[in-house]
Amino acid sequence: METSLFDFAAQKLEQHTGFSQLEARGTLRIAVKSAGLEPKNLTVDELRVVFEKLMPGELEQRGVKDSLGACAAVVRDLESAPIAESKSPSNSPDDVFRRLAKA
Amino acid sequence: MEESAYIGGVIVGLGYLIASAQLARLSVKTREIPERLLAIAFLLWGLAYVCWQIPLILIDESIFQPLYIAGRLLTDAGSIASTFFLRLVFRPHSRTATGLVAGIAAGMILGFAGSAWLGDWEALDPLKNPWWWLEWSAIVVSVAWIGVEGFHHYGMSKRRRRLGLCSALDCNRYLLWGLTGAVWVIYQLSYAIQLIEFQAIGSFSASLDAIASALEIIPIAFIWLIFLPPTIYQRWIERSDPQPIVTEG
Repeated sequence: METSLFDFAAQKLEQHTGFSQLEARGTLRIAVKSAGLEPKNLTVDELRVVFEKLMPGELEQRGVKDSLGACAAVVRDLESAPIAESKSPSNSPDDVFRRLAKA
Repeated sequence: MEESAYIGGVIVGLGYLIASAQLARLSVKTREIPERLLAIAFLLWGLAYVCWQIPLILIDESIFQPLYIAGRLLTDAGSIASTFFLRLVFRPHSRTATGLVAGIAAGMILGFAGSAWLGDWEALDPLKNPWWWLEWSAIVVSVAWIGVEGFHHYGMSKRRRRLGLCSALDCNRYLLWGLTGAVWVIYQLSYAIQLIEFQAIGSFSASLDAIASALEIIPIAFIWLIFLPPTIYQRWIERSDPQPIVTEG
């Protein structure tokens, strides 16, 4: 089965926080949704922003002591995500509407 | 029919045709399907208005009915193209969306065929023709879908905007897209009321005609602001909604 960027980030979050798979995926899903993003259509840049600006707060709420350190570690892992570039969407609604506005 | 409705119809028809030409030109360059689908939808809607406006300036009544029927067919076909656009852009992997497109298309085709079977070829008699309601409902669902996607993505884009992941113009386009769908729904409701009134009293009232004309023109203005935004409008949106300062935590 193909690994999505969401799956990759959730796996890394699990590693760096000691969360269970369910906790890591659930926490990431909440953060991604509250950023106004769709888990199925994520880019590395978007995930980086989620981990830098929203995830530290989410982790603190769930009792993770070094939330900033855990997030920084996931961001570093994202740089080497093997599926990162190929999974970047080029036909997201934002892309389409931006392109159509140049008609 | 009032003169205001005729002028309104000409403006709306031209608006669709010009937007269609611009999107078609873009689709030749990009070879992407979304712009092609929207160009087709706008072209068909623009041609529908041509069919509806011609009888208002001609004396030969023998071609009225064929033109009205052609206008209906073009409207339905354009609406089906717009639902393909919605599915492709907003719900590309959704089976529900695929089912919705099929349901809308089936509703329009069955509604049209049923109306023809009852002899209401121009679909002007909602009081005696139950098939009219099927075709009308399919159109309402298709335009409501536009509104729902627009407002949903507007809400999502506002959240992205707070994190610096979305521009003010992108946000604004979703808002306009949602408003376009909402006004089209209201227009369809007013159209139904207009036809019921027509069947009851035998003529269109001037006030409803004026309201319907306005409800047809407003979405065209939104479409222009989404797809052909003037520079002055773009600057105004960017100035009125500057990039928020993001605080961490």
